[in-house]
Amino acid sequence: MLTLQVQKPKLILEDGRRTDGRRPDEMRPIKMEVGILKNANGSAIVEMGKTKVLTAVYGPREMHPRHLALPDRAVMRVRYHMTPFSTDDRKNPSLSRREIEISKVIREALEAAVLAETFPRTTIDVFSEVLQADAGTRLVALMSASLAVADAGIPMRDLIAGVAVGKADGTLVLDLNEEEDMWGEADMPIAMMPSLSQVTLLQLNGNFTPEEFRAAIQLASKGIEELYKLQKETLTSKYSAYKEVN
Amino acid sequence: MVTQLDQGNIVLPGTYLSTIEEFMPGDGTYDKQGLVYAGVVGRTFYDMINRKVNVIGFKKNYMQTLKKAKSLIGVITSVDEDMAQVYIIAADETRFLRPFSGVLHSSQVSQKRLEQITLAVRIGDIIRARPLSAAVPLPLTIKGKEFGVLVAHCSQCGGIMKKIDDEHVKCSRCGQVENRKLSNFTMVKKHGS
Repeated sequence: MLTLQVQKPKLILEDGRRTDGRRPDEMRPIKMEVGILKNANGSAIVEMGKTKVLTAVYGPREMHPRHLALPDRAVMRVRYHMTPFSTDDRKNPSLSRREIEISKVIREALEAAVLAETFPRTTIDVFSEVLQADAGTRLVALMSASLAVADAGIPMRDLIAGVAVGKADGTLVLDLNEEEDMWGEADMPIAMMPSLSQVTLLQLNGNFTPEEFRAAIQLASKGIEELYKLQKETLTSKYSAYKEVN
Repeated sequence: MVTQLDQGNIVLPGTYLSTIEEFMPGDGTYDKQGLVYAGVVGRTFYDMINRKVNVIGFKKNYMQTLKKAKSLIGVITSVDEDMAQVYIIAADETRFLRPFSGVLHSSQVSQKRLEQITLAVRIGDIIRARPLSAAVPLPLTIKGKEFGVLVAHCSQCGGIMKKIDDEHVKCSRCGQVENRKLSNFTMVKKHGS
């Protein structure tokens, strides 16, 4: 039987660039689009390099079963799911432990942004489908979810933008790729509401020194600013075509 | 300071609009620590008379539609002694992706006192109603000429009922006569019947 001896590759090359040719503070190319699904109240697709996530938002609508509804606000239900064809090997379509946890993390990040008090006794359902996975799916899912919620006309405090920072071969890198995610020393996804400068999601895998942590936050906010600008452009370009509303 | 130029601007969630002393937060906005921000994607409307700032969203969500709805279309799913449960499938021009539930109480059928709600509606009827509030389940009323049953089915054989007078309908298949609170609203198209 063939056994593959997989060794840690060099993550930062001699010229200071990364395995995919990016500079350490460079993000992958990003594409965003809103309002792509007819049957959902709001929808968005976000692509970041090879990662693609499609999100549909339904609601605010009546909560079923009704006893789970809350008298003072809307209930957010989020499903993060990876399609069977999103990874190299086929992924079992049932929700894994990891997907359930990421759903919860995304839900909590979204709850901080959505003004759920406006819609008591209802529910807002968010479905994120990872079409293609290549590191950073939770943040791409979160960004597409925030765009889809805005597209659904649901009031929210701010859009959410997020990016991962990590450490590869001792260097701080922005927007990790698959190899850096696997072999790097740290991986920290951060999501923020940039206008309010609030953090809605922060996780850390691996370890940073306090100085590195501060530098990582700095680096992330730089990337987030860029993403936020793009999100705003996406929404305005879609709606600037709308003339008047009743 | 709000200038004339800010009126009608396209804003996004999180866009700063004004301080709370200048303008109170209106529709599609929220306030945080004395500052008013936009909550939805839309155009700004600074109401100079009421000193309120609103953001008029490009897309209406269902709760806004229900709040503004003048009429609703629903199907009766069950009837009690004095209550009927309604599945609301549409509001004015909007068809919902999933129905909202509503309740119709016998006191909301007409000005007269009604002994039983089955004298006004029965299971399977399609009704036109008005919401009394936008809290789910929606309390409904069919008081008024334009509100009431649009399509009725026979409780004996399920056939389509035809109107005989203002309060009675007759089954086109078996001839059964029943009571209904009928709507004068007919869905007549421009050239159709």
